[in-house]
Amino acid sequence: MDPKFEEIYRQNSRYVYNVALGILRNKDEAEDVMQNVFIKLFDSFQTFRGEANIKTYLYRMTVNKSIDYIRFQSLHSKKNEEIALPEPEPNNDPDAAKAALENLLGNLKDDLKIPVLLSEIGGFSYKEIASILKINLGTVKSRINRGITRLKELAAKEA
Amino acid sequence: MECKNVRELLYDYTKNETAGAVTADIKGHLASCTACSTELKNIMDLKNIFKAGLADVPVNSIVAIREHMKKPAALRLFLKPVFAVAAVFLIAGTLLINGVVSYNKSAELDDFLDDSYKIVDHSDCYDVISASYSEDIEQEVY
Repeated sequence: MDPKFEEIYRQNSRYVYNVALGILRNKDEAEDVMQNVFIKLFDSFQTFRGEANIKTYLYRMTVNKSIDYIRFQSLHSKKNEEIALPEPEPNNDPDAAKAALENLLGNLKDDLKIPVLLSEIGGFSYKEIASILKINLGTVKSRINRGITRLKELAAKEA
Repeated sequence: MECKNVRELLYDYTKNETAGAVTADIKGHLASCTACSTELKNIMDLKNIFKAGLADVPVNSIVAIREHMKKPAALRLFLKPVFAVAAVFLIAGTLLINGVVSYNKSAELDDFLDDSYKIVDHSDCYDVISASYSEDIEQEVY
C-alpha cells in the first residue's frame, strides 16, 4: 500500500466510519460506505493536491454515499411494505457511551445531524463543513446550533 | 454581554469560531456567571459523549481495500461504473454495427442470387430480332 495513502487511511478511517455510522446507524452499511470511499480515493489518489483537499473529498463522499444508502433503503422499504420483513435485532452494545451517542443521534434529523457529525467527529470548522456540504456558512451555523441545542435537551432528558 | 447572547455563542466558542474580542467577552462573562458556566459544561459533556462514543473501525475493513489495490490498474479502471457502462456500450455498438454490416452483405448476396435465378424474359428481343431479320429478307427479295 502507498505509505501516503496508508497514513491518510490511518488518520481518517475511524472518523469516516463514525460519520457514516452516525448517519446510517448500521455498522455493516457504515463499513461498506467507508470501504467504498477509500477505494474511490485510492483510484483517484494521484489527482489530489494537498491533504486538505483529500479530507474534504473523503467526508463529502462519506456524506453523499450515506445519503445514497438512505435513499436506496427508503425506496426499497416502500417496495417491501407488503412483504412484512422481520424486525432487526436490537443492538446490545455494552459500551454505555456508544449506546448513548447512538441514542442521541437517532433522535436528530439528518439535516441537523450531518453538520453536527462533521463538526464533532470530523473536527471541521464551519467554513469547511459549508464546503463539504455545499451549503452556505450561515446555514451551517444555524443547523449546528439547532442540532446541539436539541442534543442537549435529549441528553438532559436521559440524565 | 448578556446571558442570552453568550449562550447563543457558546458552542462556537468551544470550537474557536468566535472572533477575538467576542471570545474575550465570553470569557469575562463566564468568569462571573454560574448559569452560563453550567451551560458550557453541558456542551462539553455532550462533546465528550461524541469522543467516548466513537466506534472502532471493524478489523477486516482494510482487507477489501487491499484486495482492490492488488487488481491491475486497467481492471480497476474497468470496475469504475462510468467506464464499465462505456465499455458495455462500446461492445454493444460494435456488435450492432457488425450485425448490420453482415445483414446488409447477406441481403446483397440474396439479391444477387435472386437475380441469377430469375428467368429473363427475352420476348422483346425476339420481336426486335425477328423484325430486323424480316427487313433483311425483304431487302434481299426485292
